[in-house]
Amino acid sequence: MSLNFQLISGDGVKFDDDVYEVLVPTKDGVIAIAEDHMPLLSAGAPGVLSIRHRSSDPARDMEHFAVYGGILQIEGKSARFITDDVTTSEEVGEREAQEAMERAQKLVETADSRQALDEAKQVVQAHTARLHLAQLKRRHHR
Amino acid sequence: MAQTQVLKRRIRSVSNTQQITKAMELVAATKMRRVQDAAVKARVYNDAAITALRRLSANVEVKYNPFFRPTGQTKLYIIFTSDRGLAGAYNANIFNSAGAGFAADKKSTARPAVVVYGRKGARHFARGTNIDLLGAYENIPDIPDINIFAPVIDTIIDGVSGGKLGAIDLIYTESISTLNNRIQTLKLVPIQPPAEPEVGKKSADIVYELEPNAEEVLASTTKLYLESSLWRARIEAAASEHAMRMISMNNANRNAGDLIDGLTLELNATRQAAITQEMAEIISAAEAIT
Repeated sequence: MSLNFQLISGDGVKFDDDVYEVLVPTKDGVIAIAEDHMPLLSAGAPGVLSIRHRSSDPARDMEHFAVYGGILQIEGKSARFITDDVTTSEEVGEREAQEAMERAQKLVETADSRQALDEAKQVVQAHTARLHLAQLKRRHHR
Repeated sequence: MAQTQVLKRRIRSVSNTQQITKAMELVAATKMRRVQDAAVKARVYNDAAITALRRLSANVEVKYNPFFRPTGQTKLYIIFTSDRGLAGAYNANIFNSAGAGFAADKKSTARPAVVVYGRKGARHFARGTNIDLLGAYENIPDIPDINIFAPVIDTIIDGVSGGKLGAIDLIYTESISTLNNRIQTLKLVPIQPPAEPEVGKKSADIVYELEPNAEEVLASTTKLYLESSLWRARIEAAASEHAMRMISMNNANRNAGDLIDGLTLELNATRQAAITQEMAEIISAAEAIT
């Protein structure tokens, strides 16, 4: 039982392999996809996308990426997530992510217009995803 | 003697220019290789977004979506030019293509709107009297942060959804190969995804579930399509710019070499003539003495 999964960003194909299961953040919440999932197009949301390579893999062996919205496209034995930017676990550190998160929260507090507030909230969502990714990395490397 | 000095000075001057053009050719070649790699990745991203859009185009919601059936009168041109010159006809070709588009639009009641990237284009279109220049962006990196297109995407979404914009054309130079760069005019809106290239089961035969709903999926996919098309156009334009600058600097380099060869021949002939004359004078003087 395997599903071919592709993670595509502006920086090209970030992941392309056969996997057992993928947990994808969407606007309806996180959904799990596996082989023979019904054809689906779903609006992605900022969050952590997790890949389980084999059914026997424990949670600590899952591969994680931070994504910032996009489109999930599923067609039976293949699926792809298309997003403008992807952050891998190697690219993020917990302390920097925490500091960036605090700066983003300050932006929300100091926003002086509706547009500035919406933009600041998007920045917070992106940094929440990065922070979550950094925390997962620490937890699995203990 | 004075003639030889002038020729030597000219040869030195052309050699200095040749050194500069050689250096510029090397710089352009290095930048081009880096940007061409990014262009390959940008094509993958844009093609993936187009595929998702193609899957959606069979959906009934598309009939009522303004990006597929815009109602506005104004046509928006998004044009990518360069910040610097010395790239052959790179900018002139773009200006000609945009000018042809404006001329064709003259029959329409609304004046065309323009958003331009690159200093050369910003200066050129600022002088235009028959267009509305909505935005001019300069010093955009070859491979920019994708958020750099947020203002123009907001303009597009507001204009099309608000019934102001009826069509959007993206004009840029596409990099086919180092020696082959052509002007591409992409019709961004109304959205017409290219025909299915895949074989086997056609996407129209597959019924897709849309989550959370068709409207949200259409909005996300359209935004992804606009963003990836602009991103790809910028990187393709940068790759073409460096390729054309490399070619034009190579030509300049070759011309300088030809000029140096010609001047050197002239210098040798002049020097030889002076020597021959001196020898003739010595011989005739010797003959006169004896």
